[in-house]
Amino acid sequence: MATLNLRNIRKSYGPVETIKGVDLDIADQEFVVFVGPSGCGKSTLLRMIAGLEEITSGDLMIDGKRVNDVGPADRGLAMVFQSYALYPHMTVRNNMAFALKLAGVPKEERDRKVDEAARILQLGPYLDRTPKELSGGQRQRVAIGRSIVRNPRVFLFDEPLSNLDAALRGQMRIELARLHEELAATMVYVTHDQVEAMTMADKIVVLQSGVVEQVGSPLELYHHPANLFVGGFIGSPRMNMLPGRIAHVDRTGVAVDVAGGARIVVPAESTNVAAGNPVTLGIRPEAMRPEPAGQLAGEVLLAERLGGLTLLHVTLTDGQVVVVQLEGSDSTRPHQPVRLLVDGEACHVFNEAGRALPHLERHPLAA
Amino acid sequence: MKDSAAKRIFITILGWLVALLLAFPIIWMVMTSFKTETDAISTPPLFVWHPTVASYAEVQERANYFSFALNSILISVGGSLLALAFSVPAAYAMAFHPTPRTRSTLLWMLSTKMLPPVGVLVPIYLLFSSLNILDTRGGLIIVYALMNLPIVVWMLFTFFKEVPREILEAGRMDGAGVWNEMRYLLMPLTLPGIASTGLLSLILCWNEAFWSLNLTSSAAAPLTTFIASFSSPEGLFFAKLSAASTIAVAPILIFGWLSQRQLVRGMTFGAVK
Amino acid sequence: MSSASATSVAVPPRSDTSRTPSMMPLLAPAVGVLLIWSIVPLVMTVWFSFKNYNLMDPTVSGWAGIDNYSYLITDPDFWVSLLNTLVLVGSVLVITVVGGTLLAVLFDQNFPGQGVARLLAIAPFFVMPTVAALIWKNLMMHPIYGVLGSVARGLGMTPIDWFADYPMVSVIIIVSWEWLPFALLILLTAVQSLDREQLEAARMDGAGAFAQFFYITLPHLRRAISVVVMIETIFLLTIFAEIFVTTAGGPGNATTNLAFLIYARALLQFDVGGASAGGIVAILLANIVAFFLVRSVARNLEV
Ligand SMILES: Nc1ncnc2c1ncn2[C@@H]1O[C@H](COP(=O)(O)OP(=O)(O)OP(=O)(O)O)[C@@H](O)[C@H]1O
Ligand SMILES: [Mg+2]
Repeated sequence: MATLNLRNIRKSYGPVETIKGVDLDIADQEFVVFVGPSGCGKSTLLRMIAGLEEITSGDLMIDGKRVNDVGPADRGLAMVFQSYALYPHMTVRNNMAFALKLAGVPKEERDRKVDEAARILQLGPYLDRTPKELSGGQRQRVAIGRSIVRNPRVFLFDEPLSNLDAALRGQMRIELARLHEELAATMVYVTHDQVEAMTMADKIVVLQSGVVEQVGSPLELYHHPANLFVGGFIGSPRMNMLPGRIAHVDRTGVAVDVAGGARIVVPAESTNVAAGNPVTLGIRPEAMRPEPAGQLAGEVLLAERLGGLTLLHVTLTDGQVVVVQLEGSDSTRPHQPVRLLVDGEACHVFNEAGRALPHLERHPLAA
Repeated sequence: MKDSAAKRIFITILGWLVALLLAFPIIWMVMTSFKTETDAISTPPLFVWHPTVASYAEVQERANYFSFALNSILISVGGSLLALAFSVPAAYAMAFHPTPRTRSTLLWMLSTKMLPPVGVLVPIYLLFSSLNILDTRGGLIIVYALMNLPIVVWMLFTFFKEVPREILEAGRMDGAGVWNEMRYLLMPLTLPGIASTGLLSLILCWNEAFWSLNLTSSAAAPLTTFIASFSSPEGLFFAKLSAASTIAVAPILIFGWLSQRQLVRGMTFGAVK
Repeated sequence: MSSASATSVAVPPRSDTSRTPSMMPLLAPAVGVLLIWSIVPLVMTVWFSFKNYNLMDPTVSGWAGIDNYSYLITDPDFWVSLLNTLVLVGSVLVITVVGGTLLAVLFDQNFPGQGVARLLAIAPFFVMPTVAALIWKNLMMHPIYGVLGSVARGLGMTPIDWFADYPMVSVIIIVSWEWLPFALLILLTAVQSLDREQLEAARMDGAGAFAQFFYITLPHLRRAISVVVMIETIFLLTIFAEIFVTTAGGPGNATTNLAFLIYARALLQFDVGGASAGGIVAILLANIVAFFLVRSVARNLEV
């Protein structure tokens, strides 16, 4: 059992406030991922939870108890660092057993726990090596093993996979997901990587400049971004953002005029907007396809063929470039004129302040 | 790149030529130390001769040689240990618990090294004479420790800074308090750095020749002073001078060779990697 | 604060005292002894420099005012020693930095036995000054028995009586021999840290060996060179043993630098007041140099 509650958590370095009041509830056994651009405060927030960074103001609760003034070792957390931070002068076994040894756990029990963790992580053959005799992936597993043996209530990860190559990253991702299930632990995970965030998270927290922009399940963020920032940040390739104006509103949604008069109807709540308001229309790359009857006209600038996918870069009549993602290998060629059919249901309208107009219907998978 | 073979030969010859030229006085000193006094001053110089250890034997017979050597060892080791005793805690504090003042403290320490010893020779001499510690090992140990303190602090600071912050944080997550952190993490991780700092201090003390020449005469005089006493008798004792010099230089030369990499890092305050 | 609720007022930032005990007890001893070491003798030197004080002649006493200083600056020996100091420091710096840079580039190349050659080349740095000076004076530069003399005779030239005819040059040679390996050691390490791909990129851009050296290698070495200059200056300003065992400042005052002058005043002529005035000048000189050097080092440091 471990829940985490953050209440108006703030952090200042001198006069500079880097975390500007974060409220967050993390349920037991939840896998929570912090994402956000570099320097937005992900690590700082994680380190405050860990106890490595002092909390300037606000309350941090673990299982309902305020732990602001509890030392890092006594919060019942374990942390896996980006650099792994293995003790270079200790063997793998001693690395993993260190916390237990400091806690005065008898030798047999220590060995038992280390062996158990080594089994889970397939580190058995390496227990007597030192970290420098291991590969990157193995070091990563030792770092995880070091946190497992302590049987923590919450695991904290700060970009644990960013030093690994792409193949190994994919493999470790699966392994971490399996661990999450096997250990039934609460995990908080910081990453830069969209794929990691989307695939592993129960809940994603999007941060920008020390402020939480949105919290929700991966598909919720994808299908119902709360604002321009989240819409642009989640999803790859990025959502296309077209400036436009509201043509008219009714109960079925909002009609938006963009790029030289094309009109797109989005089924979004229209209570707070009126015809003539300037808005931004967000179109996911997969929400468009070439079609003679399409609303948007343009010319193909570039076609990126990835095999299973094709990315078309299309210059619209007003000069803006949008990216269109098509299934399979498409034959469209550069300089060819195209019309793009936009699926209004998959579009998002953001008002002048950047807030999304809520969709009339929720995506079935985004609760 | 057709001339690369020629270039390689040229570089090889040049490299060895320069190395041998630079080392020649030392090589010649060692060679001379194995000659008789007559061979040593023969003209033209002898490159082939009957080696003899007679000069070493004679140097050894001058009973006081060993007292000089012993002084050198005691003073260098004593001075270095004393400097470390003061520096390790200070460098630890500054490297692992820095405050806004740390930077200026460090630079101030470095600037005290800029105070030329000649500038304070007179008062130190008078102080020592009034404290009756002129020509004592203890006196020189104190001076050497103080003389090297800034460099030793700097060098330790540089080595301590190289301990990754995250490793100490991992230790804190694992429940290591100040004491356990010191015992299980810092000590083993910084011991090599402390050792090479001690080595550099040892080298500097061993070779120091300003304070030792001015503050000692016989009882506490180290090898630098002993060797300096050879400066008067012209020419006649080349072999013995060489033998004595060889013994005086050899241990520190080997130390220096062994620790050259760490010396670079330490002496340049980590500015050169 | 323990009962603070979600709506608690902002807690003012406080230092992390719970985990970071005060470091003063650890820092204080080192700072304390250094303070004493750097201030007490300095104050005494200043004090003596305004006194009449002769170790051998107790009748000389009382305040001297600025007599010691005026005597010093009207003494031609002083100016010569100042000039000698600067000549010595300047020449050795130029020789060792230029030579060290060239040698660093040379020893950066791969050639058979490079490791051993490098050990040989840096060996002189570890030789104690008195040994270095005596070896050079007797085994190398002695006009009759020295190796250099023999070489000269072998080439049909008259051997040079180094210390009689070129005393300052001789001292400069000895000191440069001691410090060239130091410059080499530091600069070689710096050269080796140069990114090979930068040089290769320059080669692709058509840079020859000289262009590579001047546009890539040399700028890369700037930091290392400034460190070499700083450390060498600290030691070179007070070169003493090499002069003490070879020329004793002579002939005349040809090789008397400031360090040797002060030594001679204090411990040969027992003129504490005059020596102290000289000491103050040495300290001022060092401080002028240090001011620039410490600043340049400080800029290169990330603490
Ligand atoms: N010790 C510190 N003193 C002052 N500012 C700091 C300190 N540590 C972090 N910051 C600032 O706080 C902000 C957040 O830093 P943080 O490391 O949390 O970013 P991040 O989101 O983890 O970025 P990245 O993705 O690059 O790791 C940054 O602007 C950083 O400059
Ligand atoms: Mg980070």
